Amino acid sequence: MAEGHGDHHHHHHGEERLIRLEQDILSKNNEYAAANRRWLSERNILALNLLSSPGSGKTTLLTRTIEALRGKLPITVIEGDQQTDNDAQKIRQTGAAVQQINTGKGCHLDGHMVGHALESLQPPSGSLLFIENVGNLVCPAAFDLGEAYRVVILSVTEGEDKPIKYPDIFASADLLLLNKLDLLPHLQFDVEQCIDYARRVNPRIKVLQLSATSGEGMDSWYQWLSATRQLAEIGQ
Amino acid sequence: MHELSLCQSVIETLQRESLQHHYQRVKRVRLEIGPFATVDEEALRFAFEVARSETLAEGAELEIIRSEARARCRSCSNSFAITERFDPCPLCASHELELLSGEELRIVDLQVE
Ligand SMILES: Nc1nc2c(ncn2[C@@H]2O[C@H](COP(=O)(O)OP(=O)(O)OP(=O)(O)O)[C@@H](O)[C@H]2O)c(=O)[nH]1
Ligand SMILES: [Mg+2]
Ligand SMILES: [Zn+2]
Repeated sequence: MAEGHGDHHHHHHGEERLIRLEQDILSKNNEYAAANRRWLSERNILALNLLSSPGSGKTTLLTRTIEALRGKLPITVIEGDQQTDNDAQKIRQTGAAVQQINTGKGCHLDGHMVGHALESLQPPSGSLLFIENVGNLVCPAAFDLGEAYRVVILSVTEGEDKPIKYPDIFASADLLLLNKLDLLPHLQFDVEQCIDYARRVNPRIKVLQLSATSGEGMDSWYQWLSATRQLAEIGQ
Repeated sequence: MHELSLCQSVIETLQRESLQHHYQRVKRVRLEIGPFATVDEEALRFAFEVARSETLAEGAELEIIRSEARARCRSCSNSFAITERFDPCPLCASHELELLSGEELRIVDLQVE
């Protein structure tokens, strides 16, 4: 049974007992994430957590998006990578403020790391914040960062069965961006099948098809961003 | 391998709770893990061995309770056990399901001294 305070006088060293905890293992992370979410919403900042396997096109999508929305919407970026600040440098070249987080051996960002990154980055009120997670289709799913929405990016070179092979990350996402559409003619990738798999795992997931290099389909992404921001403002 | 960071937070919790519950050593930890908790049991066991060393849980046994995943169908209200996230409703084949359980990732109890 659970034990309260003040009972320690009865316990001598070496006496075994059972303590019922019933505690979520992620509760500490969830507290950090909740604090981030509060901090962001006080400043009316829309934060998006970008998840994908390595090389699906997160950074390419971001640099193109920043350039397209320049002068329309202030954007800042938190870059998560195990090593190097290559991606942060690419973002910096667009002129956007960026904070690099190197996780070392860590395979995901967590709420605590993002809290510190927010302190150094100080994204302006009313801005859009992209958090590029570590390229990994498994581990980042479990860690809430305090984002408003999760965006999962899957490129068509990865095969249409990824949503059912890595269901947890697709189940937790709000939006699926099907990237590298320009490569479709060279591949056997069944777009409809892929979307069907994603909907089996997550009936509410929204899907957009685009190419971050050719620009095809990017307008629908910008429209989603702008609609989502308006929604967040009304929610204030 | 986020299993290591999960085990590190388990150890941190054990340390925090030891102040409140006044124990010196943890002999056994019981975790409840749902089938959709994004956790690999073997990786978790390995990570626990790494994380527990030179802590108050040095040598502690790890017991894992696998909980069952259940869902309710939004189309026909049937509720049932599922083994995969993409399982359809066995009555009406709909994928419009609401997950009732299966993502548990909890410390249930501790044997301490
Ligand atoms: N053909 C094609 N190539 C693309 C597209 N988007 C990205 N790429 C290429 O894919 C490669 C990886 O892109 P990145 O943007 O670095 O991918 P990432 O997801 O940020 O990778 P990590 O941060 O390492 O996980 C680069 O060579 C990009 O040029 C696309 O839409 N079409
Ligand atoms: Mg990148
Ligand atoms: Zn049904």
